[in-house]
Amino acid sequence: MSGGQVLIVDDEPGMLETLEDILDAAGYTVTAVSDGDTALAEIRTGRYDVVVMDVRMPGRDGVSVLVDSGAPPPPVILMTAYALEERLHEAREQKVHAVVMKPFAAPYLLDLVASAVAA
Amino acid sequence: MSEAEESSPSSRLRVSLRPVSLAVLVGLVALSVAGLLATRGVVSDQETKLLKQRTEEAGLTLSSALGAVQTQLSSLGAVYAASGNSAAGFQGSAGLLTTTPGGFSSIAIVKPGASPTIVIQVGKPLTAIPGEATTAIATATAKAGLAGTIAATPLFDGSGGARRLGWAYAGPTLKGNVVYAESEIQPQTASPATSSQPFSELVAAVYAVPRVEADQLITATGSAKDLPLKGKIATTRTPVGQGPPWLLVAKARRPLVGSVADVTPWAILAAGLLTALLACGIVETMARRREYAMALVRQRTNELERSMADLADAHEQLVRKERLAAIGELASTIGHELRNPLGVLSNAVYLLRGDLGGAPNDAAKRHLATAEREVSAATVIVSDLLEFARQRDPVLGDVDLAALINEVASVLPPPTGVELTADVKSSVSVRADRDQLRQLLLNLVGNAYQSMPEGGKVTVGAMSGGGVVRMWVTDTGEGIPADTRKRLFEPFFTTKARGVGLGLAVCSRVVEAHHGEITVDSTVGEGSTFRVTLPVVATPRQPADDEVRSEVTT
Repeated sequence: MSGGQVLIVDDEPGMLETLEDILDAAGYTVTAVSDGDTALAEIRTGRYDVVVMDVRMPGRDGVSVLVDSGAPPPPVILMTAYALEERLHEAREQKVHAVVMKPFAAPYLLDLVASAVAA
Repeated sequence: MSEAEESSPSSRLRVSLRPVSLAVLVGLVALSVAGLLATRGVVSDQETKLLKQRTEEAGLTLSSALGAVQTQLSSLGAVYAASGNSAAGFQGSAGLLTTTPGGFSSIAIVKPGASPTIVIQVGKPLTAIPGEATTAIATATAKAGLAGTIAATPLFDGSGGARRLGWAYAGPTLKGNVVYAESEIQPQTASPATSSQPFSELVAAVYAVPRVEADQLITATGSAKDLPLKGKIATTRTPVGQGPPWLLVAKARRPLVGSVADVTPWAILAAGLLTALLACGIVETMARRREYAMALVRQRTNELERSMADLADAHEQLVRKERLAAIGELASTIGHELRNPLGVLSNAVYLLRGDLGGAPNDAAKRHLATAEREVSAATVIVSDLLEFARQRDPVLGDVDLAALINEVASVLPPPTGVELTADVKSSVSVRADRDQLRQLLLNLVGNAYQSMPEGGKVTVGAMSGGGVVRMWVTDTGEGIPADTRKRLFEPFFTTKARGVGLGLAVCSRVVEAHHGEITVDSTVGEGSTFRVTLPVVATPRQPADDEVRSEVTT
């Protein structure tokens, strides 16, 4: 178990809350935000080791945040409940760390976060 | 006439006619025959008339010949009387007549009576007066009157075996005597009288009695074998002085109406038959053309009706497809919307397990396991629904099967009592749609769990070789009965109390889309093995996209 700064972004309060608790319990320092613009501002601070972000959000979506976050961004793990092939294609061009389908098993996400922090 | 009849070998040579052309043919043939008969009737009547006319002319000729005989004999009588019954005078005149070719053979002056006596005779000697002559002499004597008359005998056999004809002339100048003459009869010898008109046109026979009697034939212009004359004949009776008449029987040598008139009826028949055939042919052709046209119209009509039916079907299918698409879209939307709450639920259950970690409570642990299992089941159902509703083509990328199986194992952790083993080398990979393969394995593993309510072992394996990649999921569950196995991959087929029955249908579709094969081996009570075989190399559909995807999905 290694610590690290994790930014989680999701417009679903339930998802945001449970993820925060899971990552917190796993020993990470977690910041939770619920919209893309705030997330972008947070990422630009450069404090984060990994970003776990939902794709579909009102206003600025996850892919847009990834695109605008500037180089080199921290590793980003995108979560999606929807089949958004075109948006995800764009995300892949931005070297996203991983895409996970909701719902996912928590240990699986923790493995991905650990690998992203180590990268 | 049916088509079957036409095509049968026995009737191949038979000409089949439509009823209308047959009617035309029969009608015109009948008309031709009627024409033939009518014309023949007319020609025949004309022929009969002409034959009768010629025969009567021949009778007149014969009559005048007989008149000549009477004249000759009466002259001899006159000479005899004028010479004062001098034998020398009579012999001089009569001698000339007996030496003329075709003339009399003997001439005599006879004293009539019951037994006539010869006074003078010239030519071939007459030894006696035959009985036939006695009758003729008596007849002539009785009927002579003031003008004098002749009478002839029937033919008889005279001395020397020749057939003879006797003539008796009686007249007032002879003062009670009679001139008697005999001719030798050779019926087949032509005489000037019978070789000129009108005899030359006829085959004629003259009999010395008023009926046809072969031994009374005086003369015949045809050959002996034609006698007695038969067929179209005419007869006439020629009086011989005051005695019984002679019979003239005649037949035309050639048609008297002329050969053109004679063949006219046949010409009419031939023309009629030709016309009948021609008309029949024309009518038949028209009838067949009409039939062909009608058949064509029928065929086109049928085709049109079929097209319209097809169109209606297509329309119906389109409507159904649109409706299904709408339902699919709705299912898709709901499915996606359910994924977020399911994700939150999954997280919450995970957190709860952690919260309870320090305080072991069997009931709470069991309840958590139940919640975990049910969330997984719901996740799989939603994913199947989405996969089935979307029906998308696979997007190919390099898929690391060891990593994929790992992900499946972590997304779908085995329930309590079930042991999950991965049997895969880290190097096995395949060109495939990762999301679809993930769904395939999730379904197979999920089904394996559900087949073992009492617990057991599940093995997920993969290996490559021989140009294919093999994957298998083996369980030690309850097994699948044979009748269920057959329908296993049908959409909406399920034996579970809960479930929509799409899991294996989605598996089957995914494998098909990858040009692979899925099979199942199962023994009831021992367990089942699902085997998937995929080609290692598949045609990439979107190379650029696949490349990126392979990098991001692990």
